[in-house]
Amino acid sequence: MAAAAAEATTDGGGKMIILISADGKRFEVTEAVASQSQLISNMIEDDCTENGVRLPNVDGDILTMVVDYCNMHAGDAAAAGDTMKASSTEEELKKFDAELVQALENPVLFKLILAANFLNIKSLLDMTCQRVADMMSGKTPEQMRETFSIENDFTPEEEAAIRQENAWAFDD
Amino acid sequence: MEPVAKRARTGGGGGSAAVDRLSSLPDALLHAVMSSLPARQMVQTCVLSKRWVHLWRSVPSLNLDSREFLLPIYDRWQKMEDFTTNLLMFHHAPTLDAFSIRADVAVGKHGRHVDRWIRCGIKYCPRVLDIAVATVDSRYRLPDLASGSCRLGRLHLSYVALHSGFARQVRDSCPVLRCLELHRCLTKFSHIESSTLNRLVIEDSMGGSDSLAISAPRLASLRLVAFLFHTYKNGVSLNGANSLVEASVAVKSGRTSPEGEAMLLCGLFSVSSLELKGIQELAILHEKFDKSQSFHNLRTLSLDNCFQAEGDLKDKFRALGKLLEMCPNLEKLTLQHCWFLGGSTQRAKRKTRTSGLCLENFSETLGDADVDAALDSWQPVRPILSLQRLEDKVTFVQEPDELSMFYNLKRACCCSIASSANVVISERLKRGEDGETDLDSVPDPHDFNTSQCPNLKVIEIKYKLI
Repeated sequence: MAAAAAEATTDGGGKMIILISADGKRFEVTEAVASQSQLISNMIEDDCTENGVRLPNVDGDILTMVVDYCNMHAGDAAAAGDTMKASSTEEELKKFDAELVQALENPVLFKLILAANFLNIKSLLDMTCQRVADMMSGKTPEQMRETFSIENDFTPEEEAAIRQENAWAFDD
Repeated sequence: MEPVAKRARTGGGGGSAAVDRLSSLPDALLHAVMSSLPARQMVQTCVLSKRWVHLWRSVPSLNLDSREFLLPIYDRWQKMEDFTTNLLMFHHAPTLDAFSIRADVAVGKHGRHVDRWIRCGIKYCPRVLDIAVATVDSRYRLPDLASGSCRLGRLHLSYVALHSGFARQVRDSCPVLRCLELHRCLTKFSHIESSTLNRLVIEDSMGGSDSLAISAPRLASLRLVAFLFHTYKNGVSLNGANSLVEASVAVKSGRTSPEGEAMLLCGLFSVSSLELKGIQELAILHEKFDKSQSFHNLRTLSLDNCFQAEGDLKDKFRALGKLLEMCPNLEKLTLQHCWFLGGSTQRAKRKTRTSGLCLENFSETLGDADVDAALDSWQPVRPILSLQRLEDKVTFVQEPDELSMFYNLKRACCCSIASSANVVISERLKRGEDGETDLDSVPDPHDFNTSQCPNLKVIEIKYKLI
């Protein structure tokens, strides 16, 4: 348990646990912070976080973002009793989320989606999926292909047939 | 923020080896993304690549929106009708998480189309149902949801007509309904009953009944806006709502009877956070409110545009005092646009409406020396506020440009903190005796109980110059 790669907040109280990324980086976080991940929350319940939690699907730089996010949002539940504190941080949280999500682009965005899905952090997953939807919204299929580097693997005839079949969704 | 820097290096986007990470996501995640798209765009993803051809058919959420069809208004409906009929025919998710219809171009006769879509949609027992059908002539009347509401957790309706059968439906056929939001609906029922409801929002109901009774033992959050016409003029009663945590109530000043407002306030006793808009002092002074339980949980109270009606200033202060007396654990008080705190342009109008409080009157009764005194007398309030352990002191959202405003602000503060600052009030009264001429309207410190609000830490006074 030597060097933790990211400094953890200890003021939240509770036991600390170590998260280990695919590339071996270690993150020390409180149980309260980590249990925003349903996956880790279940592990804590089952008492199998003693020797650190290995997350073979999540790279260190992505896990840094996830831990930042969880640290930021850990207050949600804790501050619920203190209405004033909650309302003052609510603004900060919104700002933090908006900045985080705005900065996200290919490919970090998709890595983060996969991490949020694997760790089962619903709010982060919803937020990142919404970001992708926002990037798709208002675009024609051609523009979507360009934005996300989607290769058109149809022959022109095939594509025409699909468009014909679903003409009700295309012609204006 | 190191990852962002890395992204800049690797994720140029236009590179020849750009990877299609979107299409590599598993179906469930693509469905989650597509759930947020409007329906027509969702279907159009079918031509992106072979991976996408059938994905749209099983997306667990459908968002129909007439704004997707950019056509002249009459063609638009026909196009939407054609699209929706096809969509509902070819789409085949086993169940729906969310079904939403937004139509802003309908006329009455289109109602049967919407009926058909809703019936199709609710066959999939959605968890979330969001229907906004704004018709130009007669109102769209929501059909019976029948067994389609068995999984319904959130129901959001706008502009539709809801008859008494709707209340029955909520009571009998929505076993897991947690959130009900009605926006500008025509409500013909006078009773809402639900054993599961956690959040209720009723905004700008029209043509409704004179009163509303809410029976929801698990209700935690209530938002009630009654600004239009005389809806609920006899008040709203909450039965056994001791689960209520937060409430926001807005009434149009003078449209609801003081008794009705008092009855509504009584029902909110368990909240920890309360926002009141447009409440009149007579409601708080009404005998019905005397019988209210004390607001023991209340920590945050916001009064916006309250005590605005014509009346005796003393009553207004007494009302605030009485309200605060009932909130022994209050920590934060916000007074926003109460008692005509701001304003210069509409003075003439105000002058005729209020007696003691309007700024014009103040300026008239005060000479220059008095204004200086006013500024001076404001100063002592600051240390008093800190005596009160007011961490943030009083916050002024906008600095006043009228010196006389200090009087009003000071008064408001002194009344609010009347508790342990009893001394202060007396001192202020003394000052009043020195030079001010409006002693009649200054509240008597004995109107306030000395032990009220010992936890009050923040008073925020917001006003704008209209």
